[in-house]
Amino acid sequence: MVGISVKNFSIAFGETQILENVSFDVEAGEIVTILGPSGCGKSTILRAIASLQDKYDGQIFLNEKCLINDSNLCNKDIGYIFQDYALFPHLNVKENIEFALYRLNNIEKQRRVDKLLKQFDLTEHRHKQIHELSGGQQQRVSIARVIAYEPKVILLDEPFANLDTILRNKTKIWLKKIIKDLGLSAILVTHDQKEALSMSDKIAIINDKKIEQFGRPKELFEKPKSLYIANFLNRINELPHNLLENLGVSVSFENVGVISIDNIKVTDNKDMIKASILDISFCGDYYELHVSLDDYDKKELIVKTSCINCLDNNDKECYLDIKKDNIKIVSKT
Amino acid sequence: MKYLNKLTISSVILTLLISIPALIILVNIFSPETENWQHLKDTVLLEYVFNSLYIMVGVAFLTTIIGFSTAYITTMYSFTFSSFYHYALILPFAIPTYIVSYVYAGMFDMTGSITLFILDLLGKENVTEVFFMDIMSIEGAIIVMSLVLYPYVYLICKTYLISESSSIIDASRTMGLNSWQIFTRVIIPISRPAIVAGTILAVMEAVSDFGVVDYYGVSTFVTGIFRTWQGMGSLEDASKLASMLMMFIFILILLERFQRRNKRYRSSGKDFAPIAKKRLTGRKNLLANILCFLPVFFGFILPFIQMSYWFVLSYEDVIDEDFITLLIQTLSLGIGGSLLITVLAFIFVYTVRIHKNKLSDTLTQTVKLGYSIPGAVVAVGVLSFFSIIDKALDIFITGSILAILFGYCVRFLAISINNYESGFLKIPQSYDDACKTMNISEFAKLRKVMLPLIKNSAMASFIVVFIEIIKELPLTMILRPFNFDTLAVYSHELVGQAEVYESSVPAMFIVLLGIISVLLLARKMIKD
Repeated sequence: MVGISVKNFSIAFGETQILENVSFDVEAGEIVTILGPSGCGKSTILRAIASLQDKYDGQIFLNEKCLINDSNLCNKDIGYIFQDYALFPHLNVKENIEFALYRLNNIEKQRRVDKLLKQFDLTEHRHKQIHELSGGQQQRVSIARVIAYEPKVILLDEPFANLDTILRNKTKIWLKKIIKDLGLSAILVTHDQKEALSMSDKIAIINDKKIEQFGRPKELFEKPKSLYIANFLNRINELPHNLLENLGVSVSFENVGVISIDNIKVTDNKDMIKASILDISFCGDYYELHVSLDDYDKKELIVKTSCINCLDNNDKECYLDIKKDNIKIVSKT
Repeated sequence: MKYLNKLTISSVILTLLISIPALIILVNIFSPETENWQHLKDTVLLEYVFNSLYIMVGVAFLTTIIGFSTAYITTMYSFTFSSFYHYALILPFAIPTYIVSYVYAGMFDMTGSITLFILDLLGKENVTEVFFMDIMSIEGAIIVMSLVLYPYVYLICKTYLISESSSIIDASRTMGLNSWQIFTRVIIPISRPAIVAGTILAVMEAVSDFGVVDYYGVSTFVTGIFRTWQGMGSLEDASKLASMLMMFIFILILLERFQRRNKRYRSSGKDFAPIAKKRLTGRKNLLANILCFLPVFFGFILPFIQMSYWFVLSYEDVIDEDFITLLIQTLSLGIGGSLLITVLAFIFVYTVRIHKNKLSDTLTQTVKLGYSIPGAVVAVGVLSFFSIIDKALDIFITGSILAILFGYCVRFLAISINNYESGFLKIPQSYDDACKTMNISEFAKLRKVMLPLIKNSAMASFIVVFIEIIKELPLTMILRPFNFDTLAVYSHELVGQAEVYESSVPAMFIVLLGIISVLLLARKMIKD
């Protein structure tokens, strides 16, 4: 199995610096997700690893062997899944899958393609043109095409962006299994935190041209380094300083106390923190309340409840139970 | 140095070669005045300028009115034959302007078929009692050119209105504007870039025209170039005139680019919503039909019927062994020229695609300017360039097929490049990236991915360039080898010998080939 190491990667497009000294490692067999908002440069890292991007500073190592900063040289150990799948419309499913197997003899080519068609549940579609397939089937073909030439590392650029929610959830599980079964190292690029949390062994979150935090999903979720990370991975409320003091939580000026919207309980207990309800949104199996803390500078929070009957005074007021243990202290910057 | 790969080097060499005729012409503007030039200045130069400007203004006015109004009606309203007009309104493109002018002269001049018919019908003897103007005049030339060139405005405005106006019109309707207010306060202002772009194309064609003005006896820059070169035997002064005409054209291009600055022709990212066409009934339905029928009738049906009639009367006298040779010569020239251009254009566009450097892009844009240079100017530039080569190498290539093919390349590469560019736009960059990540060689990518995907654009380019070559008159007339005629040249020569009926035979072959190209263009429009 092959690992990847990105060291001090920096790149600028014209006058605009996109990334600055980005470093991270992908151990052999690991799935690492690069998470960040659109346009933060996460796909650029993938393109550089795949030698589709040159003119960058820093180094990229594939199993300790440095890749040359040259877009004319590609490494056959790397497979790339494109966001638009990049399937050739003039070729059918089988022809697309065998496209990169030009070095193999016909018998070996046939054997490998048949195996993949079966493995990816595409046998009955083998003679279909690409436009005759559904989005999910097209994605399976694009993955099969890459797996066909047996790369050691697979790079996935927003692979679920064109799928609907149900198919996306199914495909995530399926793809993770394929990657693990084949023992590939993988880098996934996405802006969807749920996708990142469920797919990855590790996550690198990009903010302001740098990796702000890199680690295991649980670690990032439970111990976010900054307000940005906490906000990015979870729906949180920033609590006012005087409320934190009243709850016995001490916070320095550079830090803030945050709490997940799932961890604030709406109650009818009048001993708790009183809040005015500004708006109620029905969200299926729960309600989302937009409230303001009357005694704490009218600080506005978002909270969830499944019990609308707990609301008092004609839906104008409610009481919030905030447990000290659920509060996380994170850096403001 | 990083730019200097094989394809880019080929593009640089080709661009330099193709630019030489235009550069020679431009340099001539600074050449010292000769006696002939002084004579031209004292006698006809002012007339050339005035007539060329008059034609430009007249054609701009008429093509805008006809082109924009028909585009507006067919886009916004649904009426009895509206889907027929969608295609019929571009049919005048199928007939070269000079052929329509011969036919109109044959119908409406002093002894024209329709003139005589009307005189007979009304019992009059004098033409001036029936017609307010002579067709063989500058005004006649303007009308004829406008009838054939209005589709430039129609096509560009229609495409623009279809893609841009849907939500804007809906918004205007919800704000309570009536149809007239929407037309004057919304449609005209938002369509201005499209109107100007279409009109400038029509004007550029008009000012470059040779066949119409030559036959109608109107002195313009183009006829001046011919007379100076053939009558006075002065290539240098013809070049000087050509350089002035080129300046005219470049000013038009700059004007178009200036008015287009900061303006988008396409909406960004919003979903396309078709315009909800208003159904016309009763008198309004009839009026819409008449307004759309008139340009089709005068621009295509009438000249086509008249030409067909003359064709039937005279084809037996014209089609003989020599005519077949002429036909074969024309087709060979068309096929050879368009093949060459289709291959060269591919090199330019593919270089830009795979190397993505500014140099390749600039080279392609430079080559595309060739189409805006009038055929006569290109021909004079090629003649000047090839005479230098003749003298330097002591050979004679000026009057060879090579010269004429070179002239076609200068003028028509832009058409082919445009076809490829729109074709390549539909091939995502991720296909190139996918090939690279799969270690597919550049040659294999070209053979297995790019060529199969671009072949339709190549085919379209081949057909359109082929038709342009078949129709081209001034460039072919000046550069053709001795005793080498084409359908266009033969038709012009017959008209010059007052054999208007006979001229319809080669003209009919050109028109039939033109109709095929218009149908192909329409099919491509539907596909796109």
